[in-house]
Amino acid sequence: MSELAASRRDGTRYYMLDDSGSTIAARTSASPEESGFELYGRPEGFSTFVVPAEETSNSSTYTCCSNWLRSNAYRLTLLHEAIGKLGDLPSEHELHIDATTKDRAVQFLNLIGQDGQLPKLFPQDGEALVFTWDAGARKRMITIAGEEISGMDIDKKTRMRCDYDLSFEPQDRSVWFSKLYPAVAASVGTSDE
Amino acid sequence: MIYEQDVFARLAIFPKFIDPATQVFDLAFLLRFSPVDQSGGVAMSVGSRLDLKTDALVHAFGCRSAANADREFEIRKGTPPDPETEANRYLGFYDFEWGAAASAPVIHHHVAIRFKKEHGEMAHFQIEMHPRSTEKLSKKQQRNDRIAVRTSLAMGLYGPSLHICEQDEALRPALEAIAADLPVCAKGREDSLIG
Repeated sequence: MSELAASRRDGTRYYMLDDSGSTIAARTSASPEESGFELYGRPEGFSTFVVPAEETSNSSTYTCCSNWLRSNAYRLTLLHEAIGKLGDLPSEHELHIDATTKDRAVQFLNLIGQDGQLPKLFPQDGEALVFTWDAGARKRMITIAGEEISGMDIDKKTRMRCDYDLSFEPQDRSVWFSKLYPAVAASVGTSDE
Repeated sequence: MIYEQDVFARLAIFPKFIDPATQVFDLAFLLRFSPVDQSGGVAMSVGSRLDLKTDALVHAFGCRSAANADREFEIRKGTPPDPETEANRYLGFYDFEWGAAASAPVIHHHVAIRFKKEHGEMAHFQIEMHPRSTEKLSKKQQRNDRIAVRTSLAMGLYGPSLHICEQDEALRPALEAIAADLPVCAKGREDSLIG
């Protein structure tokens, strides 16, 4: 069974999901009908659901999709969308990230995949993207600036800070990724806060 | 004299385009530094809660600040900001104690806060970071210290108190939707509540 879910608020982005909640396809359109997805009349094989655009700001209208909206699949989609939007900004915009940073950030997200502990992010100085995790007593950051990648931990209580030099080279990547990333995944149960 | 327990407000000013991805942005997103001089100094605007004693006063300050930022943009670029990606939308503010920034683990900078009247605003202060030596810092050294300050300060934010400005009334549903995603943070002690 597939499910169709509209994005939470703007009602202009529609997702087709498989039964595990993974996104099969996402389309932007002005209305559900124009999305091209089969929506109305519950066609066979689809457990369809549409959130009308004018109702999507009302939280009660998307209770159907709440599991999915909390899913890593959805959050990963949002992370990719956010990175895309920052990369699309004009280069003089303070939130802009350059093409190399954007590509490397997407590559990094792909390393994590849907199963891992997903980060939040913020752009830095128009030249870098910082991924952040709440990892128990620590805040963990991985910064991507063009071809450079580095890590930083800050202890929430003592503010002790440790910096790490990382690298995208495949032989180095496997070393730091296996050391740093699972530590995040293991020390935190849920996605944030 | 400013003490570590003194409370300041950081305005939550967003461009509209980040909707609907607010839940993927770290709160440090709000804490952006801008260059102030050629020597690598940077600054971040905040409002003093000694002056802005009530939430309503901070909101009025926030709406004026967003409008001023848009005006400055137009003067600088010659065109008004793009309503979607560039216009400044005030959504509310978070409070923090100066100690949250003062305790940030920086290596190559010192972090200070000082009064700087701007657009006639007597409540306007700025957190500044200046290199400790005249030796030129690498981009990475600068960047990591700024990340450390932004992250430390983000850990100390509490609030938010939300508000839609009169100039943004037409965008209320979209802006309220962004604001609804802002993390709500409480403070552990009661001794510095103001207003």
